[in-house]
Amino acid sequence: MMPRIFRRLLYAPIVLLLLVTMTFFLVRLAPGGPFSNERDLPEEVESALNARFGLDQPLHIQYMRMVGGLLRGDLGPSMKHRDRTVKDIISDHLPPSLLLGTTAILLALWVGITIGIISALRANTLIDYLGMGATVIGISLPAFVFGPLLQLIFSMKLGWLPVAGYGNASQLILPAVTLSLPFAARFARLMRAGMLEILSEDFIRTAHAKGLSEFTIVTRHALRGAILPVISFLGPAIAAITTGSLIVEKIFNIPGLGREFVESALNRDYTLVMGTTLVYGTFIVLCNMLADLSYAALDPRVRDAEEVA
Amino acid sequence: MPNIPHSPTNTHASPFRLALGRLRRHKLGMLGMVLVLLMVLGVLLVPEISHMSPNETRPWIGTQAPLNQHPDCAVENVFTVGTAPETSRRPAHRSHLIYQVQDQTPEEFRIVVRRGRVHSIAIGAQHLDTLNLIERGGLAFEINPGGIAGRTITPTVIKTGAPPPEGLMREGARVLIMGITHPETIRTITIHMTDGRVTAIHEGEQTLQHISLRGENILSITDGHSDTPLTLTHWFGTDELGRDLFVRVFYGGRVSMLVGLVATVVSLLIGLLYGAVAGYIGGRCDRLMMGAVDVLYALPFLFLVIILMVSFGRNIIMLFIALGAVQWLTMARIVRGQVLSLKQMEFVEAARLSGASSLGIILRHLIPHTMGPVIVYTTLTVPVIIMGESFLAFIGLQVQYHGISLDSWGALISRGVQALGQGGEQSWLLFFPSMAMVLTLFGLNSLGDGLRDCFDPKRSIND
Amino acid sequence: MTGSPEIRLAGALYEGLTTLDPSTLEPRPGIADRWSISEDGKLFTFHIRPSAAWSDGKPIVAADFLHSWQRALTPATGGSYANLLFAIRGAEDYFHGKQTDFSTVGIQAPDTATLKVELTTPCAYFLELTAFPTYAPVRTDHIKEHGLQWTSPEHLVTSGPFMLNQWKPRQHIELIRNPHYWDASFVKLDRVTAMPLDDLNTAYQLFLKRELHWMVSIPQARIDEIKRNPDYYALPFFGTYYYRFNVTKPPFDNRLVRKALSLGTDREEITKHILRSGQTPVASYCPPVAGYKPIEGLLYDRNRARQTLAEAGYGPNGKPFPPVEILYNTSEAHKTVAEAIAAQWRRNLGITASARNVEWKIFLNDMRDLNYQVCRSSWIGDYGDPSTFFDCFRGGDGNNRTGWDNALYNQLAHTSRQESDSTMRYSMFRKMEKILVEDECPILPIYRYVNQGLLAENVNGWYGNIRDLHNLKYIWMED
Repeated sequence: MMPRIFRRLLYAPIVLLLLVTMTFFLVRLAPGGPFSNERDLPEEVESALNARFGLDQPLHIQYMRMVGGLLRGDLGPSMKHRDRTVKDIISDHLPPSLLLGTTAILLALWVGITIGIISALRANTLIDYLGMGATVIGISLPAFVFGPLLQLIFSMKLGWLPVAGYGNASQLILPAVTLSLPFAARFARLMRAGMLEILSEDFIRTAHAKGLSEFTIVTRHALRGAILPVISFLGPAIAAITTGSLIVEKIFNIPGLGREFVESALNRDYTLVMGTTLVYGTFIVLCNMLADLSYAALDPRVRDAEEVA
Repeated sequence: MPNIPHSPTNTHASPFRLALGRLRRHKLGMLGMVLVLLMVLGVLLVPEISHMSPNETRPWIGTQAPLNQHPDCAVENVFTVGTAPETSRRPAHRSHLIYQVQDQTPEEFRIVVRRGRVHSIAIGAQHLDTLNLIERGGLAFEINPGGIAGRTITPTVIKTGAPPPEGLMREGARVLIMGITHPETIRTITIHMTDGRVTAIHEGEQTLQHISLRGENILSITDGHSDTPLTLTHWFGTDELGRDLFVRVFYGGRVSMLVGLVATVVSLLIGLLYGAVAGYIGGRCDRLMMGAVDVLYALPFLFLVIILMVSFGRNIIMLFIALGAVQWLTMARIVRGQVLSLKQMEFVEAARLSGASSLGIILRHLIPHTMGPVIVYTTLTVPVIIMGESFLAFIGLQVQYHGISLDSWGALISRGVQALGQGGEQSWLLFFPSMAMVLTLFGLNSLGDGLRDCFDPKRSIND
Repeated sequence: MTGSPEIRLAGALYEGLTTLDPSTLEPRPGIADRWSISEDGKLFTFHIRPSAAWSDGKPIVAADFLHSWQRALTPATGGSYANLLFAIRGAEDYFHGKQTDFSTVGIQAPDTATLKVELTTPCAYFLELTAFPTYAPVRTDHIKEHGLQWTSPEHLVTSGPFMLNQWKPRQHIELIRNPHYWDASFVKLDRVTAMPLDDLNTAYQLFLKRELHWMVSIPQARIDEIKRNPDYYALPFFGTYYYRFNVTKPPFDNRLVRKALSLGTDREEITKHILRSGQTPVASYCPPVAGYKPIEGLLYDRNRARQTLAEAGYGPNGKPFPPVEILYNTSEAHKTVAEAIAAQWRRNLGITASARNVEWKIFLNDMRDLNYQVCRSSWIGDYGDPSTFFDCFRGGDGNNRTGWDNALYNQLAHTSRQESDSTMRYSMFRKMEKILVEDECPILPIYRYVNQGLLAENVNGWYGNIRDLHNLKYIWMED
């Protein structure tokens, strides 16, 4: 148990350094710089800007400076939005992404666990088949089809919910539903499998024999064991939801970090690419670590099941 | 690890046959397999047997709803005696063609009424104070949504600032899109061809050496043998360049499926070999190799892929590598786990004692026995990659081959989303590519589920 | 600052010495209430109105302009538009560092209310330039004090009818009326909210729900539907969409080849069937402006195109034409046009043509390094004079990007600057245009832009004009 934790903790900085290095060199080697634009920028202005952002230095010096800055927690100013720092931009745009992600995960858990339990209790009945068929559709329906579909039905045709935007709770519903769909489907399948396994165990049979109601059995006894696979999938799910939010933020016009990331890469905003990649990277690394640790902590059988997923 | 076959080396076919037998009884799995087979067939055949190619444009048709029909011709149809005709695919191979042609120069006016008075009269971006339909002459008609000519408009004088003349506007309408044409007389042109060359051109009594017919002016084409006109039917409608969506959906499927397949094979090969070697050698080497996998696994790959594609172009080969590179990690983990438990088996020990090399053992004895989980995982990887490619296409990073963007399903869907109207206008541009993609993904996922259940009957559907 | 969204906001926040009439775009008094021009047209004396004040209440003085223009002419703080100041004597030398003493530049503030500006040559449109944001005054003392933070709502001090109240990146920018503006009583809007929406479909949704009153562009893929919305407008615009040829590499080093491709392009098909919102197909470059009438250019003529290509030595009896690739930056609109033009060249000239897209920054890089064959381009004029279009094709100009350098053209560009008679100037411009689009063809014009958008019925005081400039000062809402 312990060595595994230590090994993981050791990986994290290695992974992050690798990520930072790859990102740094990828964007620097890419054609086009942060300052080029439709209108030609006079040479004098360009070299003044290069000097201001230290881009006139050799690459290795720039790299050392960047790593030094990161260690001090200084991400520098954005090269595109020159009056703002990367830290400002991240602190402006991270909260919407976090809120969306959290809502989506909670929604996915709630819907997934409910469907999973019902399917397991009614295993191999029509309800079960419908539920599991729905989960395959959920996994097969990409966000960029599902999102516009929801917009078309609930905003344009029915007029119940706002089409897009960010600021109030009603604007969060459609994006959260869109984002949660594939995860709800996966949770439902995991929950069903876990539940079926537990329900066949002796102590549940004993509980049945004792005449306990189905509701009591499920909530008191079965749920705790059956939910383990779901919990172990939380880590990867949270990591995957960050990438999913890239699209959902775009469809629903949410001022999240995802668009900043894509645009900063397109704009060659070197400092902002680094900042956003690092935020996402740290988050995903942490989630993956968490997931790995939970594998170890949980039943080894669950671990095997996960690896096939 | 449940259900490891305790079989001697050469009979590993039997669990397969067993599994396939089980699959036949797995309803969802069978449905999936049928769907996948149908899609693969469509994607392979449709672009080959169609009269149209995915990039053939007919801008004058524009976006048209499914089942639209129009004369089978190209933008410019040029016939010169003694040379091959320049027109669309089918008519070029007839011996006889009769064209009904009417030169048209329709102009489009837009009239807006505000508070009971004509607010503006515009032709394109130019605005007029007065439009005198009587003086102008020609035929005025309302253009209905979809570019379809509607009711005829009685010639009258329209003035900005004045109330619109009686009967100009539809009841309650505030905008009138009006076309005015000066229809020329309908001409009939006959083309004679032998062996794919034009031999004679007749227009009425006249004999011509050369004629060029614009597609937008062609009313009908017949081949002289029957009265049925030569037409093109767009089953799924057309996009804004008048390209046939039916062909484009199946052609897009080629791109999506090719990416899915090749990237999966890449991940399969790397993963199989890497996992098997790590598991077989074991010990320190195993720990080191799996440590590297763990480190790579933690990298947010999609982010790196995006940076990579944004920075260095979006070559299809790069995409194979990028998407395949992410997936092999899981494959390696699975294979290693299997090999770790397999290598304790007697048959491996026997092979080693009989002097087989390590590589030989891995390739001949270990890998074949890991096939069950590997097949399952492979089937489930294809949809993941198809979705990954579409994801990239949707955020504007379509794959390219030699610099030309390939319209995969994701790219078609992205266009469809942009074109979708308020009341569901042009919904076919979104519907058909989405359906094709969702059906394929559904098929692959169901098939994967089915296979998993069959190779491992003890475990039912789970992830 | 680049591009029109920023310029639109800058126009509401800042006023320069002059402003433009919302309908005719003629110069009107701004921060300066009157001015005089010397006989030779080179010396402008502006008198700053006594009531002119910054949004923090401080009076606007002549020295504010002096310092702001010095800032705009300093490379470290200047931008892409610094060249608009080059009409001023000595400004270009100062910018390029040939002269480090700012007093050599022809700008003087003899007292707080007088600003004297000396030009190199007479400039017919100088009073229009002084209305451009680059010429607007900024609070240099605030910039020194707050550094990068000077544009934040707390620190930004403006000279125009509005000031910044709130700025939420990617959500909205809120302007409120500037109480210290000299004409504050005229300004009718109390509050203006600008929403930076990338997704035009979303924007259209918001417009339909009346959460937006004015949309400055439309989702092009839905044009047929939007045309039927009574609030849609389309007006001629001061911009041209064209293709550049890289004249440094074969086959496009041959002007006959460029000519043939221009002749073989059916621009009407593009505007009529593909864009469908009133764009004018053009084979000329500069739009008609201030009395200038462009020439016709090489109109679509399939047979002549083939002949010209044959003259260049290609075709059935000549050598095979190498494959051509149109480069464009990734965008749906450019893609449809490029694909349609490639298709036209294929069928009209029998050449192999295709369209290739790259990301914006790669595109700019390829264009600068002349790493393309044909590429998509456009130009939008900065002020109401043809020179805003023609200047950039002088040899070596940073916006030329074709490798084309024509001695006669350069000469004409130079003499047209010295000339003050507009008839003479315009005939020179017409000669330049003929070289550009008929004889030498380093570019292939395709269509004239339209400015299109949606404007709610209850918005008043909004005038359509060719430069799509709408000073928020004049706009008022009806209930």
